[in-house]
Amino acid sequence: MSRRRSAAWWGVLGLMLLALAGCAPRAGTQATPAASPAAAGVPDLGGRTLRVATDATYPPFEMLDEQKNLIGYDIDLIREICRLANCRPEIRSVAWEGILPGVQQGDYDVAISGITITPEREQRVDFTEPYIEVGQVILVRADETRIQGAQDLADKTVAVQLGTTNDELATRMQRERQIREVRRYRTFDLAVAALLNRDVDAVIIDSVAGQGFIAQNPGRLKTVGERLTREQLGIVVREGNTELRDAFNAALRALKQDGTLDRLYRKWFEEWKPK
Amino acid sequence: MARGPANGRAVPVPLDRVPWWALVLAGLLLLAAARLAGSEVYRETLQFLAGGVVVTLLLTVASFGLALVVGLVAALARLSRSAVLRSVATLYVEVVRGVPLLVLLLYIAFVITPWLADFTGVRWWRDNVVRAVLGLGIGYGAYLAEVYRAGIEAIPRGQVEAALSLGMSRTQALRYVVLPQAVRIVLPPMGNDFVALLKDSSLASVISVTELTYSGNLNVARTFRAFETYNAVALLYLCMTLLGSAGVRVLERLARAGG
Repeated sequence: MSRRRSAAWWGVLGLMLLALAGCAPRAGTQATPAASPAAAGVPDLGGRTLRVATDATYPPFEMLDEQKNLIGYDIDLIREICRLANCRPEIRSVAWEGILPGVQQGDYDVAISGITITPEREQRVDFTEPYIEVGQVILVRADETRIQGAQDLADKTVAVQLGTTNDELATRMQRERQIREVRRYRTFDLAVAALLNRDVDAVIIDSVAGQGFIAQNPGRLKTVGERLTREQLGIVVREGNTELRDAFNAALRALKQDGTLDRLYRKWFEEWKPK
Repeated sequence: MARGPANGRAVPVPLDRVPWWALVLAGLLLLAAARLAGSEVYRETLQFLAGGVVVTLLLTVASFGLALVVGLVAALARLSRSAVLRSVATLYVEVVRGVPLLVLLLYIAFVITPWLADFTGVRWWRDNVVRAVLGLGIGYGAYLAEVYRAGIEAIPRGQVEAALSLGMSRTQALRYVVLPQAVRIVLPPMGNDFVALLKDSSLASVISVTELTYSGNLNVARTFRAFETYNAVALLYLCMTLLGSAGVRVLERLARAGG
């Protein structure tokens, strides 16, 4: 390559860099909304950045859209909370088993990932007040006729996600000989894939997440029987971080009162349809 | 098995021949063992993980056995005179070596074997242990095929030609001349792959095989003690791989001595 031609290439490269530099500030200002003071009655977190962990394999609570953006009920909720409490959520998708240990160690400030409030978890981390109530259901293939409810699982294989309250329930049912075998997968995606592949007979899952998977696989899945449990989901903060927890609780109450929680519920559990 | 001078006199080992790394490691392991023995948490954790160790060992041995067979067949096919065999074997090696083992495992567990199960109606295609052995065995078979091939190609062609001219068939030449020498050449890299497979067997945890890593995951989910659990898991893997490489060394020595 001649020296002159390579000089031309350097010129082009320089122009591209200039163009990029021209874009950068604009992109930057777009990402940071002007800090606005906290809403009335909600403690002000001073516009600080919060590291938020979620496991984006749990529609419609949290998932990725086609552009790989995090979307879902929990994602909207934490943004609304931060709008009221004046903070900036920096949301990261993390493997489920790393979420609670990550908060415990201080890698993340907050975890919002459809997390059920349980006494065991409360010993390790702190929860906000519940923001939604769910129940566990039995998810089966649409053509399933043998399983009508929990009473039919004694000779069946059930899949769950490892380390969830669904896992706890299934493990207990297996101990009490109400389930033959429990297979625990890293994500519910894989558990549902195993169900659709006929590897397992049923999946035990939270009702709304079950609805999410039914919507993603039209005509291939259904739920059967009564709800197995009632449980409340909360947002997790590090143990002893009362400042964050109190601010979140105040924001949650405000969002409940002004109807935002209802609006989000309708948006994600009634209107949202996967592509 | 006495090694050393025939006259039995003790010869001082030169300082640079002392296996210092092994002494350091032994010290660390003793330290860890002392820490662990005194702790209730670790004792409970290790008890919980014990079953996983057994499954990991069985999984490793079974998949390595499969890989040895698959690898030998693929290596012989790659060296065969038939263009079809050669192409098929090369395709297998290149494709499987080029795909991450985890992806291969997921592919076998969620695409191929469910289809096979539906197609043939054979129940054990749905067994996740079978799938793990299949995935790990096929995955490592590709590596071992290359190891075998390197070993066979290291034997000078002249030896085969000499064997043929002495009236041996090609199979006889392979069996009595090439393979005995090749085995000695391939033992070290093969031992290497065995230890690597032992660690990679942890990938089976994604398809819910209750091996050591999965048992660790279960324990973390149960107790929230991630730090202690993964310490114990790492230690157990280390003990197994150290035993494995020690075993490989013994084998190498036997092969060298046995001729």
